[in-house]
Amino acid sequence: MLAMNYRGPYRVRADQKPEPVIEHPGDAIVRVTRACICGSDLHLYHGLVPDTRVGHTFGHEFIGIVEEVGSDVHKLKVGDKVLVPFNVFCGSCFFCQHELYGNCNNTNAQSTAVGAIYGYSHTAGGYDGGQAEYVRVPMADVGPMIIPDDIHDDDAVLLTDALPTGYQAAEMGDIKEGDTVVVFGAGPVGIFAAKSAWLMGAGRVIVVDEI
Amino acid sequence: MQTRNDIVSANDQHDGDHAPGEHENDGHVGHVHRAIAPRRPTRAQLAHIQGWGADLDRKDRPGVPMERTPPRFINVPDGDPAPQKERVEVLVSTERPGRTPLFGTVQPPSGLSGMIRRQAFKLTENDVRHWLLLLVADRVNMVEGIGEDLASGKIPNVLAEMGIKAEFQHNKAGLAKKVALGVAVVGTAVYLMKRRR
Amino acid sequence: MALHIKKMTDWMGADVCIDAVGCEAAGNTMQTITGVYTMMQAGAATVLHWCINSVRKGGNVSIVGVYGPTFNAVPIGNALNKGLTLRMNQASVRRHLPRLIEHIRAGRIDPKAIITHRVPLEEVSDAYHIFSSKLDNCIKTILIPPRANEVRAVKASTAA
Repeated sequence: MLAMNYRGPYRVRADQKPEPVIEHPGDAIVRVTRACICGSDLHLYHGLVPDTRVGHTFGHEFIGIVEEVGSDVHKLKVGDKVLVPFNVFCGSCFFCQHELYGNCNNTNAQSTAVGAIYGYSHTAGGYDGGQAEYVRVPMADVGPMIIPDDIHDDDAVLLTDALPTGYQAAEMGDIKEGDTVVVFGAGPVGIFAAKSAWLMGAGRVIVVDEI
Repeated sequence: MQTRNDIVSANDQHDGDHAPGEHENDGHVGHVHRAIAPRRPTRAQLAHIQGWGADLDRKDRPGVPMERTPPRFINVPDGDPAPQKERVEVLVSTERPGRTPLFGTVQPPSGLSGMIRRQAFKLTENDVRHWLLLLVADRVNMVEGIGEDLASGKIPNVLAEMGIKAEFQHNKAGLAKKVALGVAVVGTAVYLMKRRR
Repeated sequence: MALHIKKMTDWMGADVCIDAVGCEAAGNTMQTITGVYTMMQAGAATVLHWCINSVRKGGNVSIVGVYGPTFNAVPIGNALNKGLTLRMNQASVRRHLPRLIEHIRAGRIDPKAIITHRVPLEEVSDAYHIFSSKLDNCIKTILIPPRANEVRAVKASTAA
């Protein structure tokens, strides 16, 4: 299959790679229909994240169609159109039980400092990401969500990372009515954080970036 | 020289001229006595913003409180997942009791960079050397990657991998500057080497 | 930067500062040299400094920008003396999805408006370079793998 292949800092290319296989009964293989490049992928691209191995495929924002399911997957079937959140999480560990899906304990063997993320180097679990034709999605019953009929594909792919991150940024700021909120960074996350600040009742929202 | 008593009595005199609260509504803008408070726009001023205030009530915010149990909106599995079979080598952090039930199996450690990574994983994540060794292993891995490409018979087109086509299309000035800089550096190096001889 | 924010907020500072930049922040030469080029710290903490210094006393700083796993130098003394609340995490996406889908359906937010580039997967090197160097007013790039089907017909594809 065609997949993005990291060769070193500032060097990436699209290459043929073997397709992923089911490694665990709870896995699913998803055929990607849309993938995004995130601003945090640029840290990988610039070689700033430790344990980024040559040959890795990046991409934690993707949607696609389920092509194959493991024997323990009951809520998804082949042909379902799903959006896959960027966290790889199990749903049963202490952190998942407290809704901290970004801090799952059962999916990242290489590091306890971060949960697991698709396509974000081995520091974040070592899963190949969505800038490819096929992706292995662990715990397919728990993580992916079937895209409702009235949600556009482009909206769905932004719901995998950019919009929830921006929204959670505004949420963690505990915005009260009339607050002045300053957002540093006018990328997608910053733009969504600014919009979320308005939704939460901010009085002034200032977005700062360089031109 | 003012004694302490003089300073205190001077202040008292000034304060004695004002009753408490006398300045509240007399229209002095920017008067020293008024406390600084943040200015808040009214709801009418903000009404033009689409969806303003939709999540004003904290009950509507899904992440408030941050930790909440039992988890909503997911199909909660029964118990931890069954452990995945290990087909390839997976390096495990020393700060956890063994391997996780689920793990990624792509790009197992190999070669010199693999040896450096195995050494790095003998140290805890708390130790900066762990991360520095991984960064060194990444750079070594890059050279190994070029070696792999050459061994399988294809020369990596480094400029294409760095996006030279896009640079040419969108940033000709930047490209020209980089080329000029490269030529200058190489030219200086060649000149200096010739001079030494 | 803190000076500008203070001037804009009647010398109080902002109530909430959000860091949506992360470890490759531009804006401070020393931070960029120590954090990005020589990697003496895990990336340039420029925006963390701005956040802590621009927020009002007792305010909140919310960090979602990604930083590396080692350490960074931040003005924690200022944060202490101002009584700040610093909150940060990776987004816990799944639990936000129902509420965000409600917002999209109600027309309060239109995420696809920020997409500026659609690129086939074969041109991923150029897509990364354009995004990294901020060429062509790129904000968000979508990669389309080969053999991805056409977008499934949806009822609300031209939502405002």
